Amino acid sequence: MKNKLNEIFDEAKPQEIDQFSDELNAPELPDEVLASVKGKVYAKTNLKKENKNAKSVWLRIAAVAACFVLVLSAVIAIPMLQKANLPDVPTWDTAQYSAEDIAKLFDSMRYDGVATNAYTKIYVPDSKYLYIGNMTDDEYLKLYQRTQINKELNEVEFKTFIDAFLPKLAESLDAPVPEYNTKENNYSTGSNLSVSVDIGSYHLLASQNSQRNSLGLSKLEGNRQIVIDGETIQIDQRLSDEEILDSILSIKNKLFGIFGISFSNAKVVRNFDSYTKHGAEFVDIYFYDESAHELNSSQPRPVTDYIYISFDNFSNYSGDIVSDSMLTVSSVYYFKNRSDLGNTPYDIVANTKRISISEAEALLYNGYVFGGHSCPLCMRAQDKIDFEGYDFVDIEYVFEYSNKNGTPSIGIPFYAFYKNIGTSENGNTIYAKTYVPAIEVSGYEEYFESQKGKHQNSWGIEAIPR
Amino acid sequence: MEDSKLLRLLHKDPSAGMEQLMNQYAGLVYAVVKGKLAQSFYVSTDIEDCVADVFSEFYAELAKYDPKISSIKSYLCVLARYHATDVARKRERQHGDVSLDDEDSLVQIVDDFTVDGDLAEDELRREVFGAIKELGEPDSSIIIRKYYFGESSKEIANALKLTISNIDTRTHRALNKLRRLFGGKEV
Repeated sequence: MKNKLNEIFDEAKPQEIDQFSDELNAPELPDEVLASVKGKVYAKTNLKKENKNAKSVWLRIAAVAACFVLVLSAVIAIPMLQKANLPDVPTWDTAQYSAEDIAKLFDSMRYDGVATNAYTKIYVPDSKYLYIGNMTDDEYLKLYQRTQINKELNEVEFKTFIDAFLPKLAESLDAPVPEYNTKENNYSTGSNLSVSVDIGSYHLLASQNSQRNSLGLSKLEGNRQIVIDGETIQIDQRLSDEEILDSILSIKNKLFGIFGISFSNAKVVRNFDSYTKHGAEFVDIYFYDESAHELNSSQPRPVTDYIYISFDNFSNYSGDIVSDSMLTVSSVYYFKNRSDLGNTPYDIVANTKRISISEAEALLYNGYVFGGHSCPLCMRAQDKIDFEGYDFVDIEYVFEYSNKNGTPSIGIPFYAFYKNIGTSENGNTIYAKTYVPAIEVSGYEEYFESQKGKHQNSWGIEAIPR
Repeated sequence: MEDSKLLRLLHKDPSAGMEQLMNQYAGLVYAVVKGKLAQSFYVSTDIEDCVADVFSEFYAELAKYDPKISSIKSYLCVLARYHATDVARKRERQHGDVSLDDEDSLVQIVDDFTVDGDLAEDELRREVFGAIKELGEPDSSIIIRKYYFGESSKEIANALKLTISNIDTRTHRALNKLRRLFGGKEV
């Protein structure tokens, strides 16, 4: 069904669009695309490509000669300088995965066919919020694979999931139990079932996809606070993580009672940005079982079942409270893997030799990096960064996001490198983060050579660290 | 270059003016066209052809452009949207009704936006645009990016440095707010 908002935009008049001129910004096109567009326009309009005023013949010859000398010098001298500075790129011709396979883990490559960003920017008031773990000395690293995807949608199972908690949830929210309908949605990445229903002044959004049932509860009106059994869900962000978890113990137990589940572990993840001057923009609290899967300790989000509470600290809604201390605007989520997947949605498929940190650095310094989940539009803002003298390195798994073609989703370990690149307007430290595979991978030079134009990105800015 | 100077250049030296116009706005026109075509089936050359059509039409119909009514930027955006819609319709006729929606978060938002139909279309548009502006940042940017440039939640999340679930939640809330304002049914 065509979206009404799209229709409205389709019919918009120029004067109506004027008011959004600040938001209507796009990066420059790469030279080759711009040249192609111009060529087509000149052909259609009979305009001639603009020529600069003719210079004298001697002046032009002199200019050409000077350029020739410069280019020749550059061709010879610059590669020599670069070769002198950069470490040799290690090669593993028989590795299980190629650089091209690795690139497919990242969305921009999968969906847009362009190379990933050179790096992602992260803003934190303190490096402890980078959540860098202790790197082990393991000689081999595990590769994971999602156990099963594309499980058929099942409305009966979905309703059973919802009905198991809905009466208790409504009672705790002091609201009547609502009637609801399920809806099937089809997307290019797959299908899902969804339920969108009000519970009193709260809103419940539940969904089932091929892997799990999930729900989100929020309050869209007024103070947007969730009150369970008379107790407001809130935290004081000035407290330490341990103190926050202690302060929310009673809410945790109430949620466990509503959803009929209990988890042994909890963690606080604070998210910062470049502009908020009131502490964190979000604070997420996860309740989960760390021992249920070894990835739970290393991934930002647990891979097994979990409940999490997300606290907002926004400023753009009327009535919102932007606070340096108490955060009272929250949403509650519950993710439950679908029954026969149990609590182990990822299998270990291989133990693969880990490359050394010096080998990873050689790849890093030569620009053979994968900058993270990114989009071509983001690349426009990327300045080149020299990662030499980086501040931190960690091992992090990146999982292929795929339920499109039914192939198993692979999780590959990467060295994640962090480099302090300055301070944002709100005083947070900016870290550039980029990824180098922590396992042997073949075909780096060939792949990056083939992606040269793309890796310079669609928008004309070179997106390689150095 | 400011609109007034650009217009003077276009009239005085069309080649130089068009060169400047395309240098300045080709990226924007490209993004609008790509955003619109991303909702339907298209082939890669469609985008460049469509962008070229937009600039060609702007040049051919230069006399129709009135700087008192809108900026060149907005005028080009509307032309771009119009041409892209045209291409999308042609492609849909050729390939059937193929719709792409790259919503990929685990909790999918339901974003069909309906209104009660009492308002005239022109009035409705004005009201909706005013309401989008009133959403404030980053929500108005999210709505523009999602529904004008056709960016996915993931792309917006990356650009605005927010999480995908936050983009979806904000989109959901913003759409519900718009629905409430215009008498549509909340979802």
